[in-house]
Amino acid sequence: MFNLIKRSLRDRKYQVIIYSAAAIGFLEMYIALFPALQKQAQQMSKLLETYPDSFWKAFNIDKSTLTFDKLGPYLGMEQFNFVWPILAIVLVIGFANYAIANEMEKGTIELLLSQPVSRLKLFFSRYITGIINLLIFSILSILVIFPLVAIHGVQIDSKGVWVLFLLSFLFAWAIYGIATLASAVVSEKGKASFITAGILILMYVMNIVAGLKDSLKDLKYFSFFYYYNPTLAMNKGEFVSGALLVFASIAIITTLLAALWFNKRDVTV
Amino acid sequence: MTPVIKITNLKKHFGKVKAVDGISFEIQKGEVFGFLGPNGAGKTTTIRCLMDFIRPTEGEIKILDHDAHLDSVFLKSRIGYLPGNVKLYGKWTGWDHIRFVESIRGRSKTVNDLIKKFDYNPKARFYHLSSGNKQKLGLILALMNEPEILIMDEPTVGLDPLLQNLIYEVLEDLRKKGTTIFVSSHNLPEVERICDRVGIIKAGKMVEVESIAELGEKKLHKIEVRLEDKFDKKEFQINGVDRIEEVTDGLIITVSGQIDPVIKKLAKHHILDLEVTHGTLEDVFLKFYEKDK
Repeated sequence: MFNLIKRSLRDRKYQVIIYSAAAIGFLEMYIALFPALQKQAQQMSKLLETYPDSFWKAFNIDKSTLTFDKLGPYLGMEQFNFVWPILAIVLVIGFANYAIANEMEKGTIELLLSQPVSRLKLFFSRYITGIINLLIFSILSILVIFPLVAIHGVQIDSKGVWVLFLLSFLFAWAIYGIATLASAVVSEKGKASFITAGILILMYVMNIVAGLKDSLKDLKYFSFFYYYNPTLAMNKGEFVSGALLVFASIAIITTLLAALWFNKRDVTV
Repeated sequence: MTPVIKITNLKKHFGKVKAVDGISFEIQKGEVFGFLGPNGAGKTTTIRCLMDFIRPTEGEIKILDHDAHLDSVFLKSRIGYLPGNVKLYGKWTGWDHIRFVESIRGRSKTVNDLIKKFDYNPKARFYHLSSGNKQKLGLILALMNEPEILIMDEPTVGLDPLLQNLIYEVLEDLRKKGTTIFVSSHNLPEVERICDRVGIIKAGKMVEVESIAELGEKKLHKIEVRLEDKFDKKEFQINGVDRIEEVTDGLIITVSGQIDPVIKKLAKHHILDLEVTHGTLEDVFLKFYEKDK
C-alpha cells in the first residue's frame, strides 16, 4: 500500500505544487496590499456600506465582520471566500478523478486490478494520496500566512488562522469525499466532475436563496457554503455552529460509500 | 487431478444483454487452452470474470481450487495477465511500469532476459511506443514474475508476423516449463499452432470444447467432380453433405464427416475428373457458427 501511495504522490506532485504556488501568490498579493488598504480603512468601509444587504447575504459574508483594520477578516473576505475555495474545489475534484474515474477511462485500472492487491487497499491508497496532497496544499496555502505576515511586518490573530486551516481542510475534505463517490460510481472523469460541480453549484445557489428569501432560510443548512465561513473564522476565531460535524460526517460517509461501491462494482474499460 | 481453471455455468448479463450465458469448461495444469470466438462472442467478458474485474451474474469460477472472487488477491499473485489492448500510463517509461509491478509483486529474476528477448527499450515513455512495443511491455509485465497461469486476451491482434512468431515462441517456452495458458483469439491458425485444446464460444454459449486433434478430425472435405453422364444433384443430398454447388458438367460437394457414402454415389456415374480437398480449420469454425443460422 505504501508503494502505491508513494507512486501516486510522485505522479501528482506538480499539480499540488502549481495550485499551492497560485494560492501563495494570491496570498502574498493581498498581504502586500494590506498596509495601503489599512491606511484607507475608513473610506473602504464607507464604500462597502453602500452595497445592499442582499449582496453580502448572497456571498455569505457577515457585514459586521467587514473591516479593513485587521488583516484576518480582510484575507477571509478576499482570499478565502473566493480564491481558495475555487482552487481547492478544482484540486480535490482532480484528485478524486485521478483516484478512480481517470483510471477507468484510460483503461489503466486493468494494470492495477491485475496485481495481487485488494480493491479496498487500492482504493484507500489512492484516497489517502489525495488526503495527503490536500493536507500539503492546505498547509502551504493557509499556514504560509505566518511567514508572509512576518515578512511584511503585519499583525494577524494566529487563532483565526488555525481555525481557518481546520475549517478549510474539512470543507475541502468533504468535497473530496463527494467527488470520490462520484468518481467511484461513474466511469468517466468528465461525468464525475460534472456531478460534483453540479452538487456544489446547487449548494451555492441554495445558500444564496436562503439569504435572500426568509421563507427559504432553512435551505442554508443543506449548503457547505453556509458552514464554510472564513471571514467569521479569521475575525473571531469561530466556526459556524455544526460546521465541523457536517464536514467531517459528510467526508466519512461519502468515503465509505465510495469504497463499498468500488469494491462491489464491475470494472470494464 | 484438480483442474487449474474450472468454470461452471458462468453467466454474465448486462441488463438484457447476455454476454456470457452458462458456459462451463476446465483447463488442466500445463495445458494451453484456446478460447475461440468472433468479436462480441463473450471471450473478454469471460476473461474479466476470471480476473475478478467483473462479477458473474451466476455460476462459479475456481482457479487453483480457489474462488476467483473471494481469493482474488492470492490468485493474482499466481496469474500473469495480458489485456486485449494494453493500456498503461502514458508518461511512465517501461522501467517505471516494471518497477511499479516489482514494488507489488517483488523483484523479478527474468525481466532483463525478457527485455533482451523482446528487444524492447524500457527507457521510452509509454505514449511514445508503437503498438507492437506497447504489446511487448504488456507481455513483459505479465511474464516477469513467472506466473503459474497466464491469461491473455487476443495477444497477437494487430501485430506484425515477426512479433507474432516471437510471442508463439515465448508461449512454447512457457508450455515446456508447465505454465497453464488461457489464450483468447479469433485467429484459428494461431490457436491451431499454439493450443492443446480449444473452446469455441458463440453468442455467450460454449459451442464445443475439443482437442485440436479432435477438431482436425472434423475437418470438412470438398469434392469437386466432373461427370460425363446426366445427373441430378438431389441424389447427392444425403446425410453428411453440407452443400452442393452445380458447375459446368459437375458438382462441388462439401461434406462433413465420412466421405465414403458420397464417393459410392459418385461411383454410379462416369467420372471425368475428381478432386478431394480438406477444408481448413477455419471451415470447421465457420460451420459451428452457421449451425443455428
